[in-house]
Amino acid sequence: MASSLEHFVNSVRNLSGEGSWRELYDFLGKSPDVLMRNSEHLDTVLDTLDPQLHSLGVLAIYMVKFMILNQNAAQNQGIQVPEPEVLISQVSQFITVCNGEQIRCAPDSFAELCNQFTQCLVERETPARGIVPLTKAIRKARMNETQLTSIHASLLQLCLMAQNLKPALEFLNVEISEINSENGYFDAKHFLLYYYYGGVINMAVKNFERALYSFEVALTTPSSAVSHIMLESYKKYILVSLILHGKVAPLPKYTSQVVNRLLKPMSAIYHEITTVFATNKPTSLELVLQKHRELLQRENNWGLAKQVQQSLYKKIIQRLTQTFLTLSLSDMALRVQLPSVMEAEKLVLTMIEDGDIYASISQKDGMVLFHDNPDKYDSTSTVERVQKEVNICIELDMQVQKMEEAICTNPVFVKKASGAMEEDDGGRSSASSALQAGAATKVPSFSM
Amino acid sequence: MKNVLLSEGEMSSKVVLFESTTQELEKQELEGASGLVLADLHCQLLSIYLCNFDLCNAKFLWKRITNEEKTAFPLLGQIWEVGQKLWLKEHNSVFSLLRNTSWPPSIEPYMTCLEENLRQKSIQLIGKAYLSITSTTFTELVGYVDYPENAEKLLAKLQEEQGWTCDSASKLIIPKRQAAQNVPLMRNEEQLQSLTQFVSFLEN
Repeated sequence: MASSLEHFVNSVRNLSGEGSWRELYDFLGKSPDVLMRNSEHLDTVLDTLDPQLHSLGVLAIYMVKFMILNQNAAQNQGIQVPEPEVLISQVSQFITVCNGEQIRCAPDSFAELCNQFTQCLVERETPARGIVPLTKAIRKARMNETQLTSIHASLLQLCLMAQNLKPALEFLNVEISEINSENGYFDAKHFLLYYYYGGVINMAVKNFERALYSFEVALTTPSSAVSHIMLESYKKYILVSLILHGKVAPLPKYTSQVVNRLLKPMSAIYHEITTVFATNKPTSLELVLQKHRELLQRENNWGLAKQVQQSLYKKIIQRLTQTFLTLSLSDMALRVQLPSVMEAEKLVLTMIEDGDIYASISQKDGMVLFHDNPDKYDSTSTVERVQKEVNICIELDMQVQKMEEAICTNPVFVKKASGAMEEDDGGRSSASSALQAGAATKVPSFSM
Repeated sequence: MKNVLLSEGEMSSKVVLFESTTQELEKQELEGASGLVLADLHCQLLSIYLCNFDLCNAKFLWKRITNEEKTAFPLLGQIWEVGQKLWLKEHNSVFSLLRNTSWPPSIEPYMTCLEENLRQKSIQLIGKAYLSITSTTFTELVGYVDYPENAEKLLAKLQEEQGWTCDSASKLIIPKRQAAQNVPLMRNEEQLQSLTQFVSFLEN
């Protein structure tokens, strides 16, 4: 017994010393059984290893500890079960000090460890404790800033549960351009969750534009079946779209067909809300919302629905600016179905403040004067804005070129493309369909 | 603690007040402060969010504070009450809460800062949104309902410095729209260079 453990420790030390991470990774893949059998000695083994020098070995031990923790009592007979509280502290500490270069050689194990760590915190309802460790974990695991890992989704989940959204924003304000395949561990679920949680967080901090984009990415993920995450994204997509644009923007053409076909019938009440919103009658909208209140509350969309109600008032006022040059506040209150002139004035004031309309209130005669946009677009700030936009386009173009190059030089792709070319005359089309088939089953992974 | 008050011109630009303090406090919270330290930290952080009118983050901070802590430290509730009124845009209630609550020394500077910021924001908004405004509404928006003499002083200052006018018979104030801020001009060479870049991009 003890000798097999000794063998483990020695191998970890030697291989780490040589820097043979590949071999060590393969060796560790075969070692869980040995560790499991010697569960009572795991802490002793931990003491003999340095988390920074032997990160991979320590990682393997914590993986086994989580494995034991997740087994049922019958399986754990005669095995020493780790104390979750202690394990959480140990793993937090490990993530902080571990060597990034080493753990990047075992991306699947590290991702799994972070996942187990997250699940443990979620079960114990102490999500806040994981925020700092996971932030560090992402920085260590990703190859560059715009790369997505499965840990991203875990961090966002913890932030949402802990109601502490600020730490998440840093990871949401980057344009993801790559996925870390994590040796095959990364799954479509992680991708969808990142964008779904990202949408929810942006929504919560009233960053509706970005939220809408997040939900759109989740919905337009190539797929042959519809996931629940997509369904929930779709419902929120509708409501956020109403708040932001006053109508539901159709999904882009490249959306998978199943999405449009299956999601619509599954979110009937949201379409009912859209229809009644388009009639511009706040009282009717209120009725529909009240009718479905219970369901909306159950689906955690009630708060959003109330904001839709507010945005309808704003939309109606915006429409008035197209018809009238001046309008009395009392007339406005009547047309917008607001309870009082005071309410109308407050709403107009808020809208002017937020830049939703261009108007002036005259308290002398209780009138509102609507103006055109005073910006003549002749200032340096306009130039700056245009320049910024152009730069974004240039960057995007460069990114696309880089990705195309990566695909063109990918041996798998070249083999498939040329192989298909030889097989039949319609080579080009079958090669691209093979690619599409690959994309449909799994999120395309750009990092090879 | 430094009390940063903004001059009128700086209001529209996105200046984050007490930025380094905020980051420090947020870090401490995540690193697991507890008990008295945590409550004190929450009070400060909540106040700072309010100073920046960052109501979303203030709301989530309030939500994640445990009920036990809220009961043990009623100050938290008092600060959040200000946040609620800010959310509802009930300026008058905000000002009276700010002034009529006796804030402890650790919080007072933030509250003074918030009061002044809110007043400046209101003045800017009045200039932007009103062609004419009654002195009653004016007094309410700048939070001087209980201090008419302060309102008059402020009005006199605005008349002198920004060219507002006031008709004493009808009690109507005519605010003057603030001129757009001058954006510094871009240097010609820089502009030419970036244009060259665009063209070379388009041609390749």
